[in-house]
Amino acid sequence: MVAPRDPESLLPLTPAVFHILLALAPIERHGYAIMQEVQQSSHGKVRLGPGTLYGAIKRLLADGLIEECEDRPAATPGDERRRYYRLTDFGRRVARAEAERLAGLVGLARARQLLPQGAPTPATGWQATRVGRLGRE
Amino acid sequence: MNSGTSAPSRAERLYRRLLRLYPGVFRQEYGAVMAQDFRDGVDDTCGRGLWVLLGFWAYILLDLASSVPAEWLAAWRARPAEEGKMAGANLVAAEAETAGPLAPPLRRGEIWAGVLPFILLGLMNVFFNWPIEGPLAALGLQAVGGLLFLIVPSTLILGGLVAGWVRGFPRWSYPYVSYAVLFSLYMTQAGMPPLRVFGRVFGYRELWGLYAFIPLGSAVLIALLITRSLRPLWELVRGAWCDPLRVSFALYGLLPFWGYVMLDELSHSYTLPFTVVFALALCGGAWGYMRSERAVPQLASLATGAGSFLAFLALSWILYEPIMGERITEPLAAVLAWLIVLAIVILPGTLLGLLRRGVRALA
Repeated sequence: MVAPRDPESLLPLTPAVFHILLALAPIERHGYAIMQEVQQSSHGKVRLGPGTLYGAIKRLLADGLIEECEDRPAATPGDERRRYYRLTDFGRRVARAEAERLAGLVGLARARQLLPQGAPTPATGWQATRVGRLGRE
Repeated sequence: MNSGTSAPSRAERLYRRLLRLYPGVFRQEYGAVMAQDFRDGVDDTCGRGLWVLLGFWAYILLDLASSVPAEWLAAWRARPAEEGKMAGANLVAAEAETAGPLAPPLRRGEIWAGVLPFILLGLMNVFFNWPIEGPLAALGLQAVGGLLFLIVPSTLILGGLVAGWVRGFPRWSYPYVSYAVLFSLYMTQAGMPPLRVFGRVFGYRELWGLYAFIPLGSAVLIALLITRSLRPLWELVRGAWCDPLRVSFALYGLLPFWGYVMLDELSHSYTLPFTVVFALALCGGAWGYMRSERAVPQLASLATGAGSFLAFLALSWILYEPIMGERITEPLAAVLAWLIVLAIVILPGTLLGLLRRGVRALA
C-alpha cells in the first residue's frame, strides 16, 4: 500500500504551476484554454507559452497533481486531437495548501502594515477570488 | 479557435521546425498539441495589427528560449543510470552516480583523431614559417604553408568538430572545438585584403569582424542538421566534468596557434627549426595523452608536451638576440611567460579534477 503523500512536501509551487492548478480547479481544460485562462485571470500579467505550459504539465502529471481526461467534452470538429487535463484530489489538496500558504503570507504582510487592512489590493484581488473558491470546495 | 484540420501556415511550419530544438521524448509527447496551441494563438492574433503579431512572436521565442534548456536539463536528469549516463537531480548528484569509466578503451583511429590536429597545425606552422629568402626559399614550400593555412582551420578542424559533435564529443574532439572557437575569435580581428568574395573586395583596413564566425556557425549548423539534437553539447560539458583533463587537452589544442602567433613576426630562417621542434613536442604530448587511460599519465603527457613546447618557445625568444642581434624580450619575461602559459593549460583540468574528487567525497 502506498503511503499518502503530504501536499506540503511539494510547496512552494512555482507561479506557473500554481496558475495551472488554479485554471484547472473549476473545470477540466485543454492546453490552449489553460493558457487563455491564466492570462485572463491574471489580467495579462502572466502568460504561459506552449513550452512552459507543457513542461509544467509533464511534471504535474508525473507528480499526480493532474490527470489527462479520457472522457473529453464534446466540442468542435478536430477538437478530438486536444488533450484535456483535470485536477486530481491530491492536486486539489496541494493547490489548497499553496493558497493557504500564500494567504498566510498576505496576512503577515497586513500585520506588518505592508498591505492595507480589509480590502484586497489590485494585485491580489484575483488571487483572493481563487483562494475563496478553493476554500469552499 | 482553429479546429486543426486545415493545412499548416508558414508560421506554424516554422514553429514545428523550432519544436525540433526540444528533446525527442518531449517533442513526441507534446509536439502535436504545442503546434495546435500555437495555431490557435496565431488565429487569435491575426487581424489585430503588426505590433500584436510581433508581440506574439516575441513571447513564443522567449518561451522557447526558456523552456528548451529546461527540458534538456530535465531529460538529462531523467536519463537512467544503468545506461552509464547521467542521472540524478543535478550535476553533483549525477556525478556521484557515474564514478565508473567514462568510455571504453580508445581504438587506434580515435587516438590518431586526437593527434591529427597537432600534426596538421604543426605542418601548417612549419610551412607557414618557411624562409622566403636564402637557399631553402628555392623549394617554394611557403606556398604550401599558405594553402594549409586556408585549408586546415576552415575545413579539417571544422570537419573534426562536426565529426566530434555527431559522435557526442568524445575525448579526441576537444582540441578541434577549442581551436575552432579561438581561430574564429582571432579572425574577427584579421583582414585579408584584397580578397574578393562574391564580387566584393576586402579593403586594406577592413577586418572580418563577426563574419569570421560564419565557418564555425556553418559547421555547427551542419552538425545540428545531422544530429537534430543539442544533446552533444551536454555530452561536451559532461565529458569535461567527468574527465576534467579534457579541459586541459582542449587548452593544449590552442598551443599550435600560440606558437604561430609568437613566431609570426620573427625571421623565418631563424624560426623554422623551432617550428619543427614545436610540432614534434605537441604531437608527442597529444599521442601520450590519447594513448593513456589513466589521469596521471595523461597529465604527465600533456605537461611534458606543453612544457617542452613552451620551453623551446622561451628559448627561441632568448636566443634571438645573440643569433639575430635583436632583442625581443627579457630572458626572465620569457621564462615567466613559459610558466604562466603552462599553468593555464595544466591547472584548469587538474583543479577541476580535484573539485570533482572533493564533490564525490562529499556526496
